[in-house]
Amino acid sequence: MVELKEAAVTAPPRPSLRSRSADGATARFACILLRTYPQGGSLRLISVAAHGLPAIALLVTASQAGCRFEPDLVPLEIPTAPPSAFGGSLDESAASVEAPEAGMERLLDELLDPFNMPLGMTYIGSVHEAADEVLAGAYAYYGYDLEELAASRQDNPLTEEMFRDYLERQGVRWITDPHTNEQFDVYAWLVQDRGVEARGAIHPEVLEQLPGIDAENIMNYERNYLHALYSAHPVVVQRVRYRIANDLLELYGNDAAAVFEHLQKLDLVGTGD
Amino acid sequence: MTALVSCNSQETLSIPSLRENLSELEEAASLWNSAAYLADAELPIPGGEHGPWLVSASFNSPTEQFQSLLVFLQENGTVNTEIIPHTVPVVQVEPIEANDWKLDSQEALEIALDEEGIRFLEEHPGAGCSSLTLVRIGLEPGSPVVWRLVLSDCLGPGVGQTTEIDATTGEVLSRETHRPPAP
Repeated sequence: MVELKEAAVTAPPRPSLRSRSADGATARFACILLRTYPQGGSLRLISVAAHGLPAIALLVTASQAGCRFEPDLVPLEIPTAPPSAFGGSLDESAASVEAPEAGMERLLDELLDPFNMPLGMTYIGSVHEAADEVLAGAYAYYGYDLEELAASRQDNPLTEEMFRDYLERQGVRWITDPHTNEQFDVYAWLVQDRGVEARGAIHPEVLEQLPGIDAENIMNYERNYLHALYSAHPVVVQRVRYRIANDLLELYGNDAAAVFEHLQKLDLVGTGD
Repeated sequence: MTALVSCNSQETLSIPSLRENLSELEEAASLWNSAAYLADAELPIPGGEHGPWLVSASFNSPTEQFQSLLVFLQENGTVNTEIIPHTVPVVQVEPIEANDWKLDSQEALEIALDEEGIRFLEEHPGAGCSSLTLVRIGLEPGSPVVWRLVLSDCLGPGVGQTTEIDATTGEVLSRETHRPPAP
């Protein structure tokens, strides 16, 4: 007999890091993100703690890396302004303190987001988002309804060649990167994107749970198609999400650092950068 | 009866009976929506110390276009539910009725798990994404109900096996070993 209280809606069985913490030990962990861009690089060290330790972010810019000591010159002493916080401004995520559970949830959300970019790269407003919007037009061009295909659990009927033909016939293979004004090859993005190269270990787990969908068909990982599949079958996505969380807790217990590190590694898989 | 050996001991691999537990899950679903129907039911294959749950079942309703319900039977016997919001209309499927399947979960597992499958579980003791799911294989009316065994390691390289058997006759309909997609 189901008690009303138990059956009341909105009681998800979320695996909990803290629920496995028998000794109450402080869980803290840190991650280092190294980004490289054509203009230079940045190193961001983020320390995340369970009990309110502030996040620390360190940005090393290309200009700082270029400083050199000149022994023949007399040092010129100039009063300087108070030092800025490690030479750069921090984005909102770096400035916030994040508990291990929240960090794990966030990373799981990101890993199961078909449009997620690795290493915390921003997708919204990027040339990659613009490229995916162009690619999405191919489905209508060939007479397919993306939502209908996904709902009926069919493999992506489009091939790389069909995308290429579409892009060339429509004259949209090359688009301008809104940030650099450089030309960006949409077809190369389709081919090289991790979405087509494997998408790491997470997305195949979802597709394997969908009868009729071939998890080895790389075109099913095209971001627009994967998003359509996830939108049509959110129950499957949610189950996989819970299982991954459970598996991580089985593997690492309450070692939040290890859990976080594992998820970070998954985020790096097949980035194609 | 086939004796299934679990990952690291001589224990028999066993899973709960869906038939025995389904009524409790359906009862919970009816509190969400009186027209709720069973869309699929899933049982994790125990690999580690604790599975995520014993049984989960998803329910749709013809009157709900933008949400469905997940019901979980936990190891401690409690039943939890979670509303799953949909950003696109729910894919309404033909309900799975009691007479659509005859094999219970344990029997289905014993048929579906071959030697290669047992070896996979031995090599991947934490194969936390392995599951046995009762589902209609297709979306068209009259599509057969199957038991679908997916052996997979959530955190591994994506190697696994999928076996589908007829939920009434036990006939093995397909068995595929899958590997990560290559570029």
